[in-house]
Amino acid sequence: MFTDIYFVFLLLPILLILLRRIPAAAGKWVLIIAGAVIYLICAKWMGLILVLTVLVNYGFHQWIAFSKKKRGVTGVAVIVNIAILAAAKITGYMPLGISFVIFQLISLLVDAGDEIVPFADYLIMTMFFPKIFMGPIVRYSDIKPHLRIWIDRRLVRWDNIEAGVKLYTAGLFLKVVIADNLASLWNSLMIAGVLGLSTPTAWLGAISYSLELYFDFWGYSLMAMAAGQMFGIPLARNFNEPYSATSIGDFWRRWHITLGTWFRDYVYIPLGGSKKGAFRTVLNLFAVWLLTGLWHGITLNFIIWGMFMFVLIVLERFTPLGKIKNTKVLCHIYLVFTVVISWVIFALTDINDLWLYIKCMFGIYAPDSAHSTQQFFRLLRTYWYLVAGGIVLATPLAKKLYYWIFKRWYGVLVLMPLLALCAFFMVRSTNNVFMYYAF
Amino acid sequence: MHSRNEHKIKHYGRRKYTYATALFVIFFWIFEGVSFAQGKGVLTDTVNRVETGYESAVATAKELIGRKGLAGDTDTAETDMLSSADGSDGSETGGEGPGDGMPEASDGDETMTDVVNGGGDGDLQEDEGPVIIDEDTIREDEGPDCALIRVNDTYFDDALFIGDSRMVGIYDYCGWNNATFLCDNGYSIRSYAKGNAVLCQNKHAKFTPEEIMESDDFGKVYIMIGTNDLPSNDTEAFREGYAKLIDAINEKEPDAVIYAVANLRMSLKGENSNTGRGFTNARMIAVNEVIESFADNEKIFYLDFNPLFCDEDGYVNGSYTFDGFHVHASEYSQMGDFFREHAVAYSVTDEQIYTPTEEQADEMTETQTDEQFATPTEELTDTMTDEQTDTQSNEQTDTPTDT
Repeated sequence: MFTDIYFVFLLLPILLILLRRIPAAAGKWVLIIAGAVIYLICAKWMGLILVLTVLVNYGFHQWIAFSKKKRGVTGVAVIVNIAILAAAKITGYMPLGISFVIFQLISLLVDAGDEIVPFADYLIMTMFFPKIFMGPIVRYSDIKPHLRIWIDRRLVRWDNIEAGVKLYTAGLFLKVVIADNLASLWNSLMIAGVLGLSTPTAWLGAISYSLELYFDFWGYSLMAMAAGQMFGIPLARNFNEPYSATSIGDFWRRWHITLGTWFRDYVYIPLGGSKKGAFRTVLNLFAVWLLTGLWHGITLNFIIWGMFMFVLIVLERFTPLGKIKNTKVLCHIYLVFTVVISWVIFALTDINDLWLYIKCMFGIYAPDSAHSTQQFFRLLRTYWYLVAGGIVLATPLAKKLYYWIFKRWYGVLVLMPLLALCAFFMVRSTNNVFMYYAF
Repeated sequence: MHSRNEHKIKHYGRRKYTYATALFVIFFWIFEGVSFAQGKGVLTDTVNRVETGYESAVATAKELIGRKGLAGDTDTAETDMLSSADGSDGSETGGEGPGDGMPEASDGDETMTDVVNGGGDGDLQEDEGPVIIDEDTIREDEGPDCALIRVNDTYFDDALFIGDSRMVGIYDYCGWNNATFLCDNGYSIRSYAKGNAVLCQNKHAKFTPEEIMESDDFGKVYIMIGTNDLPSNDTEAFREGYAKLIDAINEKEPDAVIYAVANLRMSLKGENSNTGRGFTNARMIAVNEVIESFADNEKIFYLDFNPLFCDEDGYVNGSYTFDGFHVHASEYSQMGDFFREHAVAYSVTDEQIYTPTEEQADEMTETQTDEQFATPTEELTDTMTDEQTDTQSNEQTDTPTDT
């Protein structure tokens, strides 16, 4: 949706202009209705399930506000939500964005307490369209101030738009120019099949997948932040240069930050956190990582992925491995190495394929392997600048570059070609332009 | 009044990004509007124009610098995403072709002798007879000219492979480092007819087929193209373009054998995911029929390896493919073997383009009986469908003439 050309260059400007003209109270409803329309177009019939869930939760909020047994009702509500999410994942009928929205709903249930949330505000907190698909999971205390009418007479302000435009372009660039084009490298490896991999190709694929996943999600999160800011409802940051982390623990304080804090605040700490002894800590971490894996997907590879992270985090906490974060270079090598492997586990749902892939990364080929060096060099030739550019942008250099360009007068001159480049790729991947689908 | 205007003026500088974006958006839609007014539809023509513009800009720049496009130097800028016509290149989710294993020994392990060298190398390990005539490919209108035999990889020393991403897969996985591959994702007859250059995989630069035939000599040309022409759904244009390609090859390489290879079909899943874009098996079969019509069994031979991968329903078996269009890397060995087993030993001028070893020659004369000229029986014609006619088999003359 954020990368759809009609949304970015047509709907978004129109919405912004419209909301600029009307007072905030009406503006909220315009946002809600526009958001609902956008969401239902993308999610189709199953989206109604999500809308229903949100309404049911609003009912829970009212119940909590008027009930005497607030904690009990909250508990019931949370269980109902978890049940809905589990049912969706198990049956496979997952409305778009449901994993994020359910977690958002639970967060609001627990945080809002017995406050009465106005209906319009609630709908925005839960179904604000920039964050409904993959957006950051925001906190009630963070979003509430921005929805109070007497502070902002209008939702949309010029300086917000100004800031948002730059950020949106950056996010768009990362997603549409870098991530989407890198995706075809991994895709072609999947087409060739795991048996067609050679060791260098496997690493190239894993690295490009790691970059692609990062820029896709990061780009999206930046666009969500930018859109939120433009509409007067700032959203939390989700990424903080994760590939520059010094340990896996640090990594998870920088990757998908809002999810990590959600698990920390609503699972880890209620279970006792690290305050009940080492054994209990390990158990709590186990619960958190099992659930994190399951949240991403219910196939075995996601559980393995969660456990992979769990083991590393426990080792970092309780063994000398933790000292790695004090090293200068080793920590980064360690981090990139483990995270790249972890994304391979994340990516391949077929356990057979996964095992073959990992073995291939370490030079162990299956007997019927059909690997070729030809393919590696061809892929390298085609993609090297994307991979190299991606690696550069995955370092703190990206942020520095962003500020360096956009704080100077010529930043505007950079913006236009950047937008043009993004527009070019967006047009090219638009579905109705079938002639650009190339085999 | 006065102060309110002043207030506004001061803000211009502070809103430059907003204004710049607004300007871009306005120009973008004007551009699209112009395209639309010219009957080209909104959005559809934009990419084409940009790519063509970019390519001509790059070409002009190169001319100014004095570089020619035919040099074999590595120029990776050529392979970047923007410079591919018709949206063809690896940045689409069509992906690149997979292929088969490393340059392993082909079966038969014969050592091949070159026409130029003339002599055999000894070391012959033959397990089967060299002459392979596929009974289920005997055609009614065949005129026996050359037998299709099995060769080993040196046959492809002077082979030119023209094609799309499936040919790229053959480049990746059949291990023919000696051959020339002029193929890339998205290449189509439509693209060829427009005169677009396409990436030569082993030379790392772009050429048109005419250019590459001028710079090198080829004894065989394999053409496997047409998948990316399906969306345009214009059989006549395809036929014309293909004829133009054949003519170009005949002109530049008059002695070369041309193999018109049928396009690999889709799996059911692949068709279902892509019908909206115009990719259907029915259209693929129609395109393959056009290709087949060019075969004359003297200079142009029709090869079809679809029977290797397809089920009875005419679709590629789902287990062979991930996306429905490309087979797995491990399956390309079958394609490679197919090409090795369906090769022509004689060019159209009866010039021997592959010298069989002594034992092979003996076998050839031995097996030369009337059976080779078998006219198809009633049974056979009944069971013949497009899926089953792939190669033509022809008679081999008694004594190979050496030139």
